[in-house]
Amino acid sequence: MELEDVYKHYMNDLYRYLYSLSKNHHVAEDLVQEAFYRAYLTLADYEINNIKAWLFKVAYHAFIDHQRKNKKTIVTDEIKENVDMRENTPESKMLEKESFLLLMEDLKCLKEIEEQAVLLCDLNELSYQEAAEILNIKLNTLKSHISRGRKKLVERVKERMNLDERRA
Amino acid sequence: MELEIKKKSKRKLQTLTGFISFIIGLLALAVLNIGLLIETMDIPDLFLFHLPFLGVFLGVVGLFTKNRSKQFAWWGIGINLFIPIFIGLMFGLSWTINAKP
Amino acid sequence: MSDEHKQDQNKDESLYKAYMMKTKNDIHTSPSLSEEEQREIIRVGSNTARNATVMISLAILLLMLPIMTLITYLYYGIGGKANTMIDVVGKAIYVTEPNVSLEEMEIESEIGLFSMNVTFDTFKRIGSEDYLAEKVDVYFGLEKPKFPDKISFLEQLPPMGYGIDVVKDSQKMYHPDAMISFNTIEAEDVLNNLPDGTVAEAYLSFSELMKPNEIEKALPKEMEVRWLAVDTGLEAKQLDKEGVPITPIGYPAQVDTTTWSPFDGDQTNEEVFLDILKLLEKNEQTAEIVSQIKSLEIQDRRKYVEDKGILIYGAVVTGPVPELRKLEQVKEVRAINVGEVKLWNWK
Repeated sequence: MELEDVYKHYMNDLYRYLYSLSKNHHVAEDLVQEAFYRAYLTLADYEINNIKAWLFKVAYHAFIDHQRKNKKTIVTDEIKENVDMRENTPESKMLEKESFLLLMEDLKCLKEIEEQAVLLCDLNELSYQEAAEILNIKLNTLKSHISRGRKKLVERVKERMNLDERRA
Repeated sequence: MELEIKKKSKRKLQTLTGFISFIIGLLALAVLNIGLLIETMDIPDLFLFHLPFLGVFLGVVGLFTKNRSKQFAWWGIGINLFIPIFIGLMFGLSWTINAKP
Repeated sequence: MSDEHKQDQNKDESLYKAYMMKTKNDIHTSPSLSEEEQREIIRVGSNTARNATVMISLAILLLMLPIMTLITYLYYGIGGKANTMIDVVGKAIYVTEPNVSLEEMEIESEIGLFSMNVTFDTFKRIGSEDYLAEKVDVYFGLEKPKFPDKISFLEQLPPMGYGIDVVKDSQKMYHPDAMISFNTIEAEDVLNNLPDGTVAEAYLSFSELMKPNEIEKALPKEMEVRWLAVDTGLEAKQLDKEGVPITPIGYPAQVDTTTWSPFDGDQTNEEVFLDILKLLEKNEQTAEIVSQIKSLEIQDRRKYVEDKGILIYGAVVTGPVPELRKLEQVKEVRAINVGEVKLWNWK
């Protein structure tokens, strides 16, 4: 496979990863662009064995840099509320929610590090070791974050099921 | 030529001003190198002061462009500041070495 | 309780798995980038990356020469390193080469990459005029000098080589206790056969050590004393401790009023001489290489001079040849060796 094809293969995974982190399509797109630019800058230098994990690492750093740069401009809560408002309109609530957006919404109740861990390990199927390296934390720390994240998500799912049952 | 295509497509990574600043810096730096290689200090002020000044200005403008990588702008500013500083230091140092009234 | 707990856990786990599975299965319906957008992202990413790589490499390449030049200038400039080196070069010439002076104002220095060339002209006073003696170019790699390139304009070339015999036999001035290695009769014949209308420089060896102020009184009037060779304890044997031949060191006898000469009369020439020895002691290697002398032994010689005072065993004089001939009758002079000769210019 050509490098370009490899990149394309993972592009939408990266896009969704960054989308769920940034909650904004344009930011996610810009970050994907930035991540691939960085990928092209560094890949000329050395061979990378695990290209998927490496791409996620690059994307993670692109997001972190973006977050640092825009600390002042983005008041996260406000934007989250905006998203909530949009997605909690009666119509959307009625409709069968598209499962990825549902996950995104569920992730909001997680701490950022837990969200990262769940996104990397469970949605994108990276190993614990890889995820720990990407996030630059200890393996055990990652494991505790992920179990806490899962627990919270299960709670959300249960709540929703109860709600549906009652409604039914 | 790369620029025009980039301009048409809305996608751009680097700021245009930063890019131009970087290019100006490289040009001035190249002239400075030629000057050093042929061992002359008779380099036109255009390359030593006027162009770098423009480059710094464009670079600073580039820094304030939102949602673009500022990498090129920083390089442009760095190089364009380096040149006058280099000239100043060289001038000062040659003044102290084997100075004659 | 624990069973129940386990069951709960299993239930939760499968719930979670199903939840994730559903999300993954439905992924194709979730937000994504179109094929077009993907291609654009790849294209812009790789193009910009290539541009950045090329431009940054170019920048680094072009920064190399200026930065190395700057480092060189900083190296030579900070702490006045280059100025000290130039100072050492000039002063080493004054005290190691008899009757040679230089124009401090005309010392040129050119700084290259991690190196410096110091170029200057040296002069000899013959009769009443200064004649160009040598064009000297000293190369310094950082602060390490190479043997200087010299172009000589003199008729008598310096001895070639550093062998004991070469150095010993080529001496023109001898300590009272040293054996004179040239034929004194032949040397006087040279002076006797020179035409009257010429001026010359003559190297005198005295029969005993003299104080600097006694010398002019002992010599005929119509001549100028140029340079005094100082007894530093090694001249009797002409060897240093290790048996390496040494050459005379001394100082100009006259005050030099040209700008920036160290012997400008602010201090007596004797004091300046001792100061120069101290300077050369700190930079002995440079001084040895610049003056092309194998062994200077500055430290021991300076201490000797400071202990015993400045005593002179030889001198260089210049004047009209007929006047120089009178030296043959002076009892204090035991040998005369004629150096450079020029047409009459005596005033």
